[in-house]
Amino acid sequence: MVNETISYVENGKLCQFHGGLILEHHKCESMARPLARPLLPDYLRVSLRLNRGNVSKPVVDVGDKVLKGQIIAVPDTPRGVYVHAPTSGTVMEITHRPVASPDADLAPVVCIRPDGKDQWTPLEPVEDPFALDRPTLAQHIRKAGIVGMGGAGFPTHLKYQKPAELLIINGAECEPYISCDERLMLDYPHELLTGTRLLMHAAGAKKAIIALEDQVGGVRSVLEKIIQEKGYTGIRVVKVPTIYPAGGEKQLIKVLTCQEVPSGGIPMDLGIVVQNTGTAKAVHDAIILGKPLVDRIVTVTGDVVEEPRNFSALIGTPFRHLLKLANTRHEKLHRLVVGGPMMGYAMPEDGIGIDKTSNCLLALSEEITRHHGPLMPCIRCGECVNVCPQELLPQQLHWYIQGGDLEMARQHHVFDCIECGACAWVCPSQIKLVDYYRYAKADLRYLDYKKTKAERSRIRHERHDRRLERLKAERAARRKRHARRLRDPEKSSQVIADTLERLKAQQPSAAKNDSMKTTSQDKRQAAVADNGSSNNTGKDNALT
Amino acid sequence: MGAISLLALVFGLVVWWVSRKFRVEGNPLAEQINQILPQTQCGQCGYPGCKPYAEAIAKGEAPINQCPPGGEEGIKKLADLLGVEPLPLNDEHGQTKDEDMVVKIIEEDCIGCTKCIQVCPVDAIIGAPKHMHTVIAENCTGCDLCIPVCPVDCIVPVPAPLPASIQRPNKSSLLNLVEAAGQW
Repeated sequence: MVNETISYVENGKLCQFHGGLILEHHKCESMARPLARPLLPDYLRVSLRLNRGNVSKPVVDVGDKVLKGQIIAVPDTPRGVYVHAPTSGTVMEITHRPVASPDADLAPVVCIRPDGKDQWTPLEPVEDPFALDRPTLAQHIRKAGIVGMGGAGFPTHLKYQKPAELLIINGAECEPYISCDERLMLDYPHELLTGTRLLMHAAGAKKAIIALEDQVGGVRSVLEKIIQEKGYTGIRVVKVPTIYPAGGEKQLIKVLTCQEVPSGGIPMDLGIVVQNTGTAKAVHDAIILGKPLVDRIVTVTGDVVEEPRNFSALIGTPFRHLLKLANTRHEKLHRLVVGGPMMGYAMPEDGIGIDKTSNCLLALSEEITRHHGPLMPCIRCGECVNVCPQELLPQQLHWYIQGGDLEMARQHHVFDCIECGACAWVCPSQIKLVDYYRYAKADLRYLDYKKTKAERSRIRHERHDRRLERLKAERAARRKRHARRLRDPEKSSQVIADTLERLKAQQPSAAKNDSMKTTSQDKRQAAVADNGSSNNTGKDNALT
Repeated sequence: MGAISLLALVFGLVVWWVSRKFRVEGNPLAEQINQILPQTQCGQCGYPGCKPYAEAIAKGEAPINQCPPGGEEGIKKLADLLGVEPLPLNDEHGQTKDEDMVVKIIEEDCIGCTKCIQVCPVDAIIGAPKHMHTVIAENCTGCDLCIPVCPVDCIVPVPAPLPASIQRPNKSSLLNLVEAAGQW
């Protein structure tokens, strides 16, 4: 299968994925202005949680002075990554605050007040990284706190546990409004290519493809010129048709290699690693410059933003700060979205800090926010089936979930849904289909957890019962043995003599004991002592 | 006639052999029922654990609506499996809790009497005589059997901890959507 993939890539032919949408671009607004580096904000709010799950443990205390790039939290599982201070300053508080995740729920955050010096800790670039073996390079990536910067935030080092054949650098930003990857490719082509080569080395891949959308101008020639000048081998730049969601990992693989990631599988099953352009640059910064991931490029745009542009912002910069720098008309702001208009999530407040995965801040007015008219019942028109890029049956899933039959939803591959929102976009009944799938996935995960817990309880209970049975049988056997010995006159006199001698030996210590013990307690202690298993309690209150 | 008798004998032997070869130990129905029960081992059903209750249901001795931790969902699944009508939960056996609970020992108050250790059906409490005990929260089923036996009332129910990657979704928000669609 791998050979097939590679031969396909060599041919340079492209495939098509099923469905998809052609959307208005809205990228020119933010691309018209150059990348800006914002001034330091009043505070930085750094989330210690990855997008789903693992929370890193803070290693700083409130009031501590930190330097830029200093580790402020360490992971306690191999899946977690390190978190670094984005600038130098003082730790103000370590608490739970809403973070830039889908439901903006509470997660541990470290708030830092910048001291204005932006002073780095001593940097430790990796010397001669191409001579390192793959696991060491992956560990360096983990140390630098790098996660997938396209949106899902999957810890990058986990993708390099097995060698791969092909690396795909995903520069196909298919969602409208977002232009941070395009900006990055134009402004940092050298860094991007070095990062790509490092990732190829980490994956053991001989080939890499940098994928762009065909509406993006100028990037391909820049990249190809550098590739030619420096004589990099194995890296190709490919333009893919601009169809939403061409930038989805599975869709991009389909377009570039004509292969489908198996249901429930990952790209590694095909020998492919997909990585965002931002991640490639972060890897360059981490390995070549020794700088951990402390900033990222964020697009700030939307119809109430007067000067939409891209910012190279520190992780944890509050939304408010960036919106102000981009001249947002706050009075008209109706909805603040992190991510694009299709897959982004609305934020309840603008004090939240940007995360490693926040690629875009979208400030929209009431007029442009799509009106969800009255919800109407599904009419089974099948439009959603036509656009689903994962070839699922969205309306059928909707029926199962509405009817509470989550197991049927699972059988119809609800877990393969990439939540791109194409089905909800075309639904004439305005059904928020993606909400149903998110609910079903979360509930199924919860039910599975309950099931494994029940199974564990069952096993523990059975062991518990077996142990009680065994103890009962052992006690009965001991009693029987004892009774048999007492029946034999010779042995019984020996047993009696032994017991008396033992009691005599215990007499002096027992005399110290107070005589307030009740008879029943004394009897029990005597029994304990008699069994020969005299533990602490037995000795303390032995017979008086 | 002879041929038919011979055939009958041959088939009889085949049936006998199959019944020997594919014999299933235990009661497979009781096993299936036990898979549905929540394995809380709380005894609220009136049986000393989930398995005895499953066996009683399989024999037709117990109704299917005596398991509060399983709730309506559990009753529905049992009804589906057994091909009977779902019954409403029998209140005499208790109410279904809204949230998953486990217990916690208030450690300052524990006198180390080991009574809770002895009643815990899943060995989720550790401790020694006259030493403080504690609950292993991830193994606790929330059966609450230890609460009444504690002489100093130092065991309290608390919400069950979930792994960070698992969140129980809010069903009501989805139901609102469904309702809105229905009203139209």
